[in-house]
Formats: sequence, C-alpha cells, structure tokens
Amino acid sequence: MMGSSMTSGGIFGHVNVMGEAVTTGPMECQSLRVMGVFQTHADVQVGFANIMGQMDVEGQMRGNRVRVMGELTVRGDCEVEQFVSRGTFVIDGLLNAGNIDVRLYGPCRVREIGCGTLRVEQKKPFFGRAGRAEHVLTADVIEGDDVVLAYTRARIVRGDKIRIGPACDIDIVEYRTDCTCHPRSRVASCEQRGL
Amino acid sequence: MEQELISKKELLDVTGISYGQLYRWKRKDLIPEEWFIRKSTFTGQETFFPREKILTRIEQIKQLKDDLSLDELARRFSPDPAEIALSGEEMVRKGIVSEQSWRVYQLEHPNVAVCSFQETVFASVVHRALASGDVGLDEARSALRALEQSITVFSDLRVRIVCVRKLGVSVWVVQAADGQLVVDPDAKLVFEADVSECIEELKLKLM
Repeated sequence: MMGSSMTSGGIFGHVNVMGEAVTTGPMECQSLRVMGVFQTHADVQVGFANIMGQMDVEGQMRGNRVRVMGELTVRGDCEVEQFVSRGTFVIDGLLNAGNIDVRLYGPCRVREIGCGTLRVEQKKPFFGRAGRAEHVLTADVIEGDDVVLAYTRARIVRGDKIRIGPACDIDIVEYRTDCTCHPRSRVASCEQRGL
Repeated sequence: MEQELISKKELLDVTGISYGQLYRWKRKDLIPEEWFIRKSTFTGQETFFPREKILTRIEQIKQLKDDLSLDELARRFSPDPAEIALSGEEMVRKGIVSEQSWRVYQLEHPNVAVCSFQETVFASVVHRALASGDVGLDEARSALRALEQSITVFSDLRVRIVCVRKLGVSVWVVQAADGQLVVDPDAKLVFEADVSECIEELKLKLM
C-alpha cells in the first residue's frame, strides 16, 4: 500500500505500508512492514512485523515476531513470541511474549507484561547523548521467569529470577530464586516466596 | 453462577509451573481467554481463574505435553469442530454414547447412519443427560431438538444447555456459556451441561 489507502482486511502474504493505510476489518498476514502510518480498527495477526513508522491497533495483536523501530500502540492485548523494541510502544492490555527485548528510545507504557524472559535497557549513547529521564517503561504488573529491568516504573514485579538495574521505581518485588537490586533504584518491598 | 476461584500466585504454587509456561500456554490458546478473570483486591488488580477448570486443564497439559506439540494440544482443547465421521456403532464402542441414548438419537433422526462432528456432540450431550438419571427419554429427545434449533442462533458451540422443570413440565434452555440464568424458585433445575466441556471430553475419547 502506497500513498493513502483503505482496506477492509483479509488474509495477505506480505504487506508493505509506505504512506498511510487504514484497515476496518480483521487482518492476517505473513509479514508486515510499516514505514508510514498504519491504523487498524480491528484485530491483527502477523507472522513477522517490522514497524519503522507508526502503527495503531484498535483491537488485539497476535503474531510470531514483532520488531518496533518506530511507534506502536495497541488498545487490546499483544500476544507474540518475540517482541523487540528499539522505539516506543503503548499497550493498554497485556503484553504476552516469550522473549521481550526493549531498548528505551522514548516513554513506553504497558498495563501488564507476562513473559518468559524480559530485558529492558536504556538506549546506547550516541555522540554522548544519553537517554533522557522521561525514557522509562511504565507498567502496572510485570510477571516473567527471567526479568532484567532498568529505567522501569512498576507496581508489582513477580518472577523467578529478577535483576533490577539502575533508575527503577518499584513498589513490590516478589521472586522465587534470585533477586539483585541496583543501589540507584527504589524498591519498596522485596520478598521471596513459594518454592 | 458462583464458582470457586484461584489466584494466579496460588495456581503457580500449587501446580509448580512458571509464569513463562502459563503465558506461553495462554498464547497457544491452551487456556481460554475467558478463564482470566480480573478482579480488584487490596493490592490492586489481580488475575483469578476458575479453580476446578484450570487445575484439571493444567494437569492435562502437563501429562500430554511430552507426547504432543503445543499446537496439537491446542487443537484438542479448542471447542472448534474436528473433522470426523462416526457411525452409531463406533460411538457406542468408544463410549461416547450408550446404546440407549443412541436409540433416542435415532428416534429423532431415523435415517442417520454416520454422524458429523456436530451431530456427535449433540448425541453425546443427549447421552450425558440420560446418564445423569434426572432426565427422561422424551425430555432427552426434546433436548436434541433444542440443541439443533440453537445452532442457527449461536455461531459456535460455546453454549450451555439447561433443563428446568416446574409442576412436571420441563423446558430446555440453550444459552451462551457465560450467560447468567435465574429460575423461578418453584421450578427445579434438573440438568445442566456445558457443551464445550462435552466437546473436550469427546475429543479426549476420540484421540
């Protein structure tokens, strides 16, 4: 899709959005590449999505691999196997993924994260410009087996192995086997439970 | 319908699975979305599950996951139809229906020799009703009619069937699985069955 276009959804092989596109019905595709603005007013199912521009999903997003270089907004849940972000994202529901790898290039917000492994890092400095203070990940609940956080604000973090890096602000940490905490982070309560 | 709930934390402690496994199974549709019940507690929003259902499901997954792929498991647990065709004798042999209930089914459909998936499901529901001992033969027949009527209304088989009796007159109700139902206090709820549960049971018997 190039220029400005609209579709009612359907099943596609490869979708390439360069410009502006809107879907009104559920869409399914093997691979998706967004360079412009892509708005979907229903559920999306993708094999591999590479989002370099902006994508707004009004419904659920499901798929195998999602890579965000630009901006992603999902109103519902986002269920994928692999979620890699080098941009920013807002997910109003649950982000459910096997592996999540986030480098913060802007404010990211999720209501709930459920995952196998989660890794959050600040972006790498470029010409001495480090990430700014508002580049944080905000979540209500984070649950995962292996969780490594940095620059994260969360109410509850639960998991098996938890490593809290710098500049985090977390109310409750509940871990099963292992938990380490960076001195520049605030953790109100940290408890081990259930083996 | 009040059901006993289990919190996510407790579930993980009881079953010994990890968050990663739980969420992976959810992604693969092994655990239906409807079972994730969000409730507010004093620590904020928490997720709960229907206790009985989730515990048996997780036991099943743990038992079967070594032999089957997750996708195969998902197909087995989903209430979507499988492609099968069974004759009456086969159904009796596999224990899906008893001979008695197959005869009831044949009264309604004298010419049916081979059943599609949906017909098999209905026959198994009839069997369940009869096996419960609370439902008479004629009532079981009308249950079948009620179910067959309902498929024009509901798009899938996520439904519940209920039999209510008052002053000796019985009525069958087919409702959406998560719908609430209140009956007149004089009436008696004689029988109820979750069709999607029947399907699960059926699939386990078939495979």
